[in-house]
Amino acid sequence: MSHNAGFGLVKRHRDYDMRLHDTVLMQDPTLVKNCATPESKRLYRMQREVSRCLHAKKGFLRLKRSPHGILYARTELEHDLADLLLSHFHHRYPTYHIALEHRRMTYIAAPGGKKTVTDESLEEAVLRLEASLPREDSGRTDETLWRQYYDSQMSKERRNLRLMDKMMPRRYRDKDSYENKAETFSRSLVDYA
Amino acid sequence: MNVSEKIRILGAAGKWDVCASSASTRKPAGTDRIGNLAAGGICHSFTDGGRCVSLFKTLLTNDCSFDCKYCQNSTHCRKHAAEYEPHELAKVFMSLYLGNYVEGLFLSSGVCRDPDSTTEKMLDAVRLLRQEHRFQGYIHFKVLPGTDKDLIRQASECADRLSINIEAPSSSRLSEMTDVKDYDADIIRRQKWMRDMRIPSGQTTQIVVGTSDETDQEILEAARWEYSEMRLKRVYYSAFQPLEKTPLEARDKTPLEREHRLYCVDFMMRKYGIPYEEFRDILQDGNLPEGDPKVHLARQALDGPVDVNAAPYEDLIRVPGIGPQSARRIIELRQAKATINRSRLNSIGVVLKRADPFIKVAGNMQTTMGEYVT
Repeated sequence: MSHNAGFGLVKRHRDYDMRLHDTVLMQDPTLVKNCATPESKRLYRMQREVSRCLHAKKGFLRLKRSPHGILYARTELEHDLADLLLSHFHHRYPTYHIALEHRRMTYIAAPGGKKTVTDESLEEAVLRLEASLPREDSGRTDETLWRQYYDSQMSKERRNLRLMDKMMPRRYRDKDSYENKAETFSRSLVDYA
Repeated sequence: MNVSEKIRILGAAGKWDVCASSASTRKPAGTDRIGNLAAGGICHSFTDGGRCVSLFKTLLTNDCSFDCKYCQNSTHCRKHAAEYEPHELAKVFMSLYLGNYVEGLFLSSGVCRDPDSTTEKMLDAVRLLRQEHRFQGYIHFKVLPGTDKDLIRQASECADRLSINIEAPSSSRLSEMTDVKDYDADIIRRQKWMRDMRIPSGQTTQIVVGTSDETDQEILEAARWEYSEMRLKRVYYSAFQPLEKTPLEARDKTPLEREHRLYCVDFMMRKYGIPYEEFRDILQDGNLPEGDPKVHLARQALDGPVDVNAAPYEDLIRVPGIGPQSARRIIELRQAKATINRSRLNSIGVVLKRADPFIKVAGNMQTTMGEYVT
């Protein structure tokens, strides 16, 4: 394994520090590989933050579906990951157009795999793509179906809101239009007792 | 009955199956498809109990001819009967999948009339997804007790994971819960068939903990047997919850801590490679004592503080706060002649607060007040 192999994503961290990375590259590879120096540990943490953010977005980002079969979403990423997220969704839905808006830029993937970045808003980009696509007969994604299903999975007997917050931090629910029953999230100290 | 109601009724009826794994190393081929797989799985939401919601977990029908005393779908209970048509189920699922709400499908069912006809209908739904909708993502298919071998083989060809629930640790324990299911003929024989089939993500099972007076020892011995003889990927444990209108409605619920302790031991048997026999020594009247099983195991198995600069991997792994990764790191650093001190242990991921009472670092070890009292 190369000395630098474990830090593939770290350059995408919002606080990426090239000098720190260079320092780590100069250190003993065994110590670095095992996070046994403060610098390598810091770099490893940054790497983990990036990969966690990417993993969380892959799971928690909800896509809407236009009548013309375009899957789109607006998201806010802490790190520079929009292209990787787009690739993930393109690989998952290779026959669909995917459009993701992040920081006033829209990242688009076409069914053939061609990827573009534009400064159009998400709505403008979706409208432009729709102009060249036929309207689909099949239904759109339905948030109400999801809510019905999600609510059915709740279990009063196993309620543990602290654990839920730990597993799915609120920032992922709010920004990606993750909606839920109000009663689940408006809670008092009694809920934690 | 509209689709919304079916989602609610059949989703709630299916939530008692615990397995939420969506991990698979299968690589979907081509680009004329929908869906792919993630080697580590992806969670798409969490319930208020902190459980991962990654799969659209549902029954095909809640109409069941079995009489399991703990189950709300059994013949003992009156319920709103609901059933998906295969095309209906496929459409609902695809709608959720395209919205990135779920990672795959977990399809189970009540046994309506007989296991074979229900399984055929389940297979119709799965084939619709695979062929008509070109879905190449994750599917977990629940095998019903008593299903024909050829139908199980067909399921193995279109699903990523199969499972059949043993529900109880032994034949005698299962017979306390149901008169219909035969533990060996209906369940274990199916597991043996599945063991010899090619299933991308293998097979799993589930035990309901606390429906009878079974001990942790019985459960762990059953799990050990399942792992070694049936080559299961996972055994899941579900703490018994008394459900309304079931014959066991009045029975006390099983504490979630018991379920948690069983998972801890199961994890250490699978991932740490600690043999079951060691845990037998910490059992009290056949049950795991309260508290962390790893702490009990360390007190039992370790002769004294473990010297992190000299101890073998097998000793390090038994120290609370040291997992397989940090134990491997300690060994690698020692081989590279690096000194292991407290700050380095902290760096490599050892939880010192938990490890301190059991380790010795550069000759120093934690002492207790008792040692100063004469």
